[in-house]
Amino acid sequence: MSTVYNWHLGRKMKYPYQAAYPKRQFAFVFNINRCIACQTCTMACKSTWTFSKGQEHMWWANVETKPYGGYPQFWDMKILRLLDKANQGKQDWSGRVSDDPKRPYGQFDGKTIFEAERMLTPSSTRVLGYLPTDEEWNFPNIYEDNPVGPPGKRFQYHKTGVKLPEHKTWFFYLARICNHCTYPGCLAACPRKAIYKRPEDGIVLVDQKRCRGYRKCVEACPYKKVMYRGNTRISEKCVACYPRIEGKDPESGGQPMETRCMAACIGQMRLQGLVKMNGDGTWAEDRYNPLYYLVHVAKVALPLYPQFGTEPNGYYIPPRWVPREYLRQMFGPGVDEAIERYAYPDRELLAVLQLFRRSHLIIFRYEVKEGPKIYETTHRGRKLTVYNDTAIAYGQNGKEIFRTTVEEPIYVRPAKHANTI
Amino acid sequence: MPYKDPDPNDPDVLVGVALPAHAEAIREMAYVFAEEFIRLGYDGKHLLGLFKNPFYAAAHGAYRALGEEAIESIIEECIDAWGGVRFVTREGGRETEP
Repeated sequence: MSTVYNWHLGRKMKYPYQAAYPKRQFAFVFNINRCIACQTCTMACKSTWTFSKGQEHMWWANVETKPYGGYPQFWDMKILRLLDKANQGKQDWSGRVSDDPKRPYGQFDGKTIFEAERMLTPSSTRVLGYLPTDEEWNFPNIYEDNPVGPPGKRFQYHKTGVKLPEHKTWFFYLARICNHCTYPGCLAACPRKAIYKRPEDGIVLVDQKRCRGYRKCVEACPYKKVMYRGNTRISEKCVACYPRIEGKDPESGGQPMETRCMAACIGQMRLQGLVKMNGDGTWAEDRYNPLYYLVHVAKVALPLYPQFGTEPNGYYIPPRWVPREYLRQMFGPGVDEAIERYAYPDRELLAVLQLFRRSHLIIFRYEVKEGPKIYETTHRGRKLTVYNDTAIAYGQNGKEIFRTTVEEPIYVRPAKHANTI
Repeated sequence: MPYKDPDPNDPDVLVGVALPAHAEAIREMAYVFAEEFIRLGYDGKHLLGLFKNPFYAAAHGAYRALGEEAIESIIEECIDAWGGVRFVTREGGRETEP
């Protein structure tokens, strides 16, 4: 085991390989507050990559309802339970949320999936995990938005349609793809070294020629985003639509382009990018990269289950209405500050939020040109000032991709009053 | 269909389990959807349509729990705050609606 630095955890941790970081890292921010589970991303991915025989159960991109659902079912509860068993009652954070980019969320004092030695059996096992059952893979979204019907009435359609039983409590939608982790569990576990992380963009891929289908990666990935294909007997996973990232899609004009799931999002809740990396694995300061801004400056976007220890590169703006204890378990200690800032966005944050899903090209830099005040009002007891600011997005080649501005709405006088002035 | 019926004694299967939350969680959820979609350019009529549509279970859950009047009032309040703006995107000199 080597020792690597994990900035999500704010400390060094054990990892089977020495640290090696890409020049840029594929990363994304999902705004959960906007997701209504339309599943357009899910189908965009499915129809592009996993429509063949043997891939029926594969959903590289999925949207699941929390806390009721998961794909595969119970994935997060199961791994959290294993970690708790390995280090009972000690999976805690200490310190404070701070501006230090090396430990922005304080320090995680518990054990990661690479450090749970007591639970790693046989001794050749490198990562704590489990293999989901076929049944857990096969029914994405089952019982998620609606609990089961009356017991003993299986295979019967509900007579009253929309009056299906409901969960009478809070829930939210969690969109997920592979996190292309900095310290991937799948890569660490593979006995064939068939999984690799690309040095140019940090995308994690399975070498289909080296893979022998041992499924150690499926077992080790805590997010369960590597899937086994029975008819080819090898494992497959999200490829981050790498031809699009490379600018090889004919539509891209040679510029890096967002993945299919990002580009298809009708709720405009996704922003994807390629962030600059330092030699020590932290993000290089890039103040006007929108992802850097959201994660390190505004701090509204947080990693998913950072305590797993893989340093995932998917970040989430947490939902405002969900009990904080649940969110702290899912996104770490930065939740309260993130929600406070997001609920009452300042001028720059509001401008950056307008960059989500406005173009299929990847934004490398943004600029905010301040405009005049449009109006002032109060909303839920707080003063709200809206300015006519312009957010401008630039691509890898430094050229402007688009600009978003605020305009006061134009009201068209109805025909019957057209001549009454 | 699944191979077996859900086991009500399985702690992972949250069948009819009420989760602790402060009483305002559903109202807060309705506010969030209203604010977000008004900023995206929805008007009151379309937004109410989203809340009324059972396909969008979270929004519809709030609609059923709080009632149409409460949802309308939330929408109105959010329109007062955020409805005064229209975000306009220009890509390659061409204007596109949000």
